[in-house]
Amino acid sequence: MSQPRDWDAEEREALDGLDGELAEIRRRHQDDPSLETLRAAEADALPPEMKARVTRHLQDSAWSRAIVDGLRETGADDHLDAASEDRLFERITRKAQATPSRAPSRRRWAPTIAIGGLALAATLLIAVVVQRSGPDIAVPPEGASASIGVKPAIVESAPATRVDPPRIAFAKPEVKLSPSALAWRGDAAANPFVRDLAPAIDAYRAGDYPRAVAAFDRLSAVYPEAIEVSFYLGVSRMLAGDDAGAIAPLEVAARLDNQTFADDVAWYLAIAQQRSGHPNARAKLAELCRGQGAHASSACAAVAQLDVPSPR
Amino acid sequence: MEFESLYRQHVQAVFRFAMSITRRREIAEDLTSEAFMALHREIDSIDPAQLPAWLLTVVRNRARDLWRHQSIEERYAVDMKPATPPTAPPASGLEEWILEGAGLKPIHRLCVMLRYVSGMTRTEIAVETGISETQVKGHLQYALSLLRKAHGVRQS
Repeated sequence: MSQPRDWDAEEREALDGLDGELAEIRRRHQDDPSLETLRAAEADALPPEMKARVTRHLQDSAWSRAIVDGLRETGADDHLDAASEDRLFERITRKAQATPSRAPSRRRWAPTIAIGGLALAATLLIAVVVQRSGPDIAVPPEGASASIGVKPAIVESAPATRVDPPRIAFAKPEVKLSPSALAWRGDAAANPFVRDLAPAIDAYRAGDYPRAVAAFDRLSAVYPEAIEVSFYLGVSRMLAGDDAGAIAPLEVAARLDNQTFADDVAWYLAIAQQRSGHPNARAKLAELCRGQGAHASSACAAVAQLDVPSPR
Repeated sequence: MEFESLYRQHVQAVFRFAMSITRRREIAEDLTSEAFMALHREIDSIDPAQLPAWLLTVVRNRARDLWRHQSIEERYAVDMKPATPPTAPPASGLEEWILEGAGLKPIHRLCVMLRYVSGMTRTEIAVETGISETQVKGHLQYALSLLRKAHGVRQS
């Protein structure tokens, strides 16, 4: 960032002799809120505590105010082209049809709900859905609010042509970093691990699981000891529909024995094994149920569901 | 009113707002999608006159959720370090010129800041601002022409 990468002759000529001043300006503003932060603040899209801090900064910083002023003059041409508009509509309606809607569906399915409402409510309350066929409904992460990172509210699975083993549904875990990754105190862009991890995390957040799997796969060779890599590789594989393939990286993650991730690793490994038909999966879920981990209640619910005779 | 009709009527405004929050197209599409998913769920209870404001509020709330989750990460944590002391004067005549130079519009200043201070390429600036690369180049050329005049003596 500190050196011109592609200045043309005109730029070099105009800025000749100003290197020192530019370096000083960069130094003065290196810790200012990012463009992303200022943009979100301008749209009033920051959480209140962050907004308060950015607002205070803006009151004091002519530099950041100038950036915001400039941002206000941008974006007028942003639009979805016709194909993207249609694609997005199709995606929304597909997901909407797969997700129970409120008032309309109550009316449409009133007789069904009258008969099976209690069972359905119980199923939703325990937040684990076991299905013999069709999509698996992903449950929200425990203690977490809605996140746009949780792209697949529905984790699709191929329609079953026979009675398959029950498959425990799961929620997409939030992105977090281990303390060792967070220990970096310099410029995040200069932290090679965070920098290398970012594209994989971005793909994961965006719901592009094949790309996330490929990216985490590559990182696993470079950072074999990084819990973030093995854990999110495993989860990305699950989200991409490769439950069996998720087991190996999650077992690696388990061996790394990172306390920040321990509960999540145990839970997702048990689910991956359960969904792959692993014979010991129920026992592992039962063990989680007996424990004090973050997913204990979900594990108990999963065991209960597994023990209920499946409808034919 | 049918859902598709409402979607067609408001999707561009919602997407543009989402893009103003995050310049990443895939995230803007996610936000837009979530807003219309919410509309689909609530369509019987929503007065169309509340649109698109209701949809924009959903986008804004989802974006706040995203920020809350992202804030645990290092790259966002460092984003909120204490800023330059507000009482400090501009570091140089150049900074003062960028902020107050005659003839510069906000978009010129932004392009200069992103190009010569943040070190972005013209392509990156185009992505970040939603204006074309050609426009970015034009804004920079105009700003540099003013800079040459302002600092001509020193540079010569």
